[in-house]
Amino acid sequence: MDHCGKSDAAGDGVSRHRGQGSTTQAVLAVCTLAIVFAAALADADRVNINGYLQESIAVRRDQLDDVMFHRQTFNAEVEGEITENVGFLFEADLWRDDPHFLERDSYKSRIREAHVKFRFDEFDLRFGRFQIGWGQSDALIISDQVTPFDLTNFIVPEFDEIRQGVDGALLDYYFDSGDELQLVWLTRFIPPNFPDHDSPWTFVDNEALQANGLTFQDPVDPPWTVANSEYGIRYQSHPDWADWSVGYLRSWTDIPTPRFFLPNVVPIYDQFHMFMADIAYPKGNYLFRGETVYEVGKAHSTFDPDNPFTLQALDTVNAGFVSEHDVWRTLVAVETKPDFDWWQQADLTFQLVHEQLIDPHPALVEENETNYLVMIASAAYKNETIKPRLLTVVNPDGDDAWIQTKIDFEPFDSWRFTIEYDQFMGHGFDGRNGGNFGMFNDNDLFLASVRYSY
Amino acid sequence: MADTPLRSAQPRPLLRASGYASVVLPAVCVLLLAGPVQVGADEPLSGLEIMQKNDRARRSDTEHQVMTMTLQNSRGQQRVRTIEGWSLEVTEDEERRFSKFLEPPDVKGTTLLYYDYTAKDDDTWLYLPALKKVKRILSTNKKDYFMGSDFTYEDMENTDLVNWEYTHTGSAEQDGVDCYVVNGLPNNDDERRQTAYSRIVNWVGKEDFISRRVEYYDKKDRLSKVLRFEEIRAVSAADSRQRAHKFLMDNLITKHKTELVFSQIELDVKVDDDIFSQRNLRQ
Repeated sequence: MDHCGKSDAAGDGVSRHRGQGSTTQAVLAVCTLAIVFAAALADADRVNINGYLQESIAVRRDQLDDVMFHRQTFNAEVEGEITENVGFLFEADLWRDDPHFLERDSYKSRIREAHVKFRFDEFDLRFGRFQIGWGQSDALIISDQVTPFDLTNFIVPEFDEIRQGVDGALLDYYFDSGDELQLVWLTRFIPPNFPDHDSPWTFVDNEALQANGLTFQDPVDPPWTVANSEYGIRYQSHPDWADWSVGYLRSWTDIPTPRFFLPNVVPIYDQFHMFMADIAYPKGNYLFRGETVYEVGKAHSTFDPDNPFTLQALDTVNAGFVSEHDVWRTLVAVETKPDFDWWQQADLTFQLVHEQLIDPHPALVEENETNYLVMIASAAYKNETIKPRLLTVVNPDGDDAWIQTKIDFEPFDSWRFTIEYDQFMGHGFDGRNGGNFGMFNDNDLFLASVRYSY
Repeated sequence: MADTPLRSAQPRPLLRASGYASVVLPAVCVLLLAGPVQVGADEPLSGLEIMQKNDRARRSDTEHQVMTMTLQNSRGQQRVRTIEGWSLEVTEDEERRFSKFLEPPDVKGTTLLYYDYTAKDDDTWLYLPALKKVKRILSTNKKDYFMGSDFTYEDMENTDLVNWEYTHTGSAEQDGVDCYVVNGLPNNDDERRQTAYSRIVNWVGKEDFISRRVEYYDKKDRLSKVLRFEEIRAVSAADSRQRAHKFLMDNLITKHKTELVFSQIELDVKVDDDIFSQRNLRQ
C-alpha cells in the first residue's frame, strides 16, 4: 500500500525520472499555446491569475547538515472564460531542486493542468490535461488512482504539489436529481516520477541487486495505442443521508513490477481493472467514511534477492518471477470534532486501511495482508494563525510507522510558514513485518517551508 | 415569500452572516401553539415578540452578497478575506447557502455548500481546489470560529427559539437610536451545553426592529464580545429595505476585532437552483 501513488504489490520500482514522450509534449505545447491564445482573446475581467512561490528545505534529523530536500517552486495558474460556456485552465510548476544527493542543481517544470472546458446545460466536457481526485481517504491512497503522483521525494512535498495531470477527455454529466456520471478517457499512460538512484527515498535496493549480479533496466512505457489508453466511469450520488459513489477504472500500475530474467531486472507496467465504491455518512457529531477497491490482475514479484532460487518460486520463472493476483483494499474512517475549550477548531480522524491479496502465491515477497491505522488530529489557534496537525500511520504488525507533526503559521495574508517533523520507525518488509514507512527508518527529518500566494 | 417569524436572517448567505445569536428563531411548534403575534398598540412588547419582529424585518427568500471581512489583532495587524455568497430558503425548514472565497489568494477558489435543516443535522460540502475533491464534511462545532474571525458559527447561524428564553429588560440608546433591550438565556441542557454563551443581550431598534448591538456573555458570565451594526441603509436605489452594511465584532477577551463590510446585498433576486449544487462547487 502506498502513501501516494498506485499500489503495486511488489513494493519495488524504478529509481529514475521518467521523461514524457515527445509526442505528448508536442500535444501539450499545442494545448498550452491554444490556451494562452484563448486567454488573450478572453475578456481581461474573466481571467484570473494565481499561484505561489515557495521555498522548502528538509534536513536529516541525525545529520542536520545533510539536506535531503531543498526546492524553490514557482507555481502559476491562469483560469478564464472565453465565452459564457467555454473556459480554460492552465497551471504549471517550475522548480529548482538542490538536495545534497544531487551533484548539480536540477531545474524542472511540469504542466499540471492545461485544458479547455465546455459547459452545457447537462454536462461539462474537458479536453487536454487535467487532474481528477477519487475517493474519501486522507493520507493513504485507496481509489484515487486516476491521476498519478510524483513520488520523487515521497511525502516531503505537500499532497497538492505531487498530483500530476493526465491527458485526455473528461465528461461530467449531471442528472436532475443531483447525481453525477463521470466518464474519463486518458489517451495514454503517464507514469509517475520516481526517486533518483541516490535519493534517500529510492525504493530500489541497488546495492543488493548489484551484489547479486543483477542489472536493473529502465522500464519501458506502454506503446501509445488505443488499446493501451486508460478509461474509467464513476457514478456519484448525494442523497440526504450520505454521499456515495461507484466506479471502474482500466489503468496501468503506476509502479512497474520487476521481472527477473537473470541477470536482467526489467520493470514492466501492467494493465489492471479497478472497481471502487465509497461512502460518506454523517451521523450527529460523527462522519463515517468508507472506501473500497478491488483490483484485478495485478502482478506481484516472487523473487527474493536474498534467497533467489526458492523451490516455491520455480513455477513463476517463465513469467520473470511474477505471479498475478487480485487485491482488495478497504478503508473505514470516522471523523469528529471534539468539544474541548483547549482544543480549538478541533478535528479528529481515525482510519483503518486493510489490504488483502487474494489467493496469494506462497513465494510472494510481500505481505499477503496489510493493515494500517491512521490518526489525524488538527486544531487552529489565535484566529487561525497557528494551525498544528498530527498525523500517525502505524502498521499494527510492527516495525512500520510514520509520525508527522506540523505547524502552519499564517500571521499575514498570502504568507504561510511551516515547520514539520517526520519520523519513520521500523524497516522494510522482511518476511515477517515492516513495510512502506519503516523502510525509511533512517530518513527522519525536519522541514521548514515558506509559501507566498499571489 | 410571506413573512413568518420562523427564521431569522440578516445578510446571511455565507454563514448567515447575520443570524448572529441574538436573532434566535422561533420554532414551528411555538408558532403552532402561539398563532400569529397579536400585540396591542399600547401593550409593551415581550422579548419574544421583539425578536420575532426583528426577524421579520430582515427576511428574504433569496440573497446574494459580497462581503469583505477584515481581521485585526491586538497589534493592529490586519488580514482580509472577501467572500461571495448566495442563499435560498427552500422551505421553512430548509435553507441552502453557497459561499465562494475570492480573497486572499491562498484560499481563493475554495467553495462551501450548506444545506441547513431545522429538524435534522445540516449537510456541508467543501471543495478544495488543490486536492481536486469535493468532500462532505462534518457540520461545524457551533463554538468554532469562522475563518479566523471573531464570529463563531453559532453567532452566524439561526437558532431554534424554543431553546432560548427572551426577556424584555428595558430600553437603551445605541448610535442615537432608541432600542429595546432583550436578554436571551438558553433554556435547556442541550442548548446550554452547545452554546458558548451564558446569555446574549440584544439591542433592537424600536422603530425599525433592526438589530443595533449584541452583547455576548461567556460561560463565566463575562462580557466576551460586542457586535455593533452600522451603515444601516436601503439595500439599493430600487430596494428600500434597510440592512446593516457593516458589522463590527470586538472580542474583549482576545482584543481581536472583525469587521464585515457588505459591498453588495441583493434581496429576493433570482437565484438559480444550480448554484446550490455539487457541480457549482467545482466550477
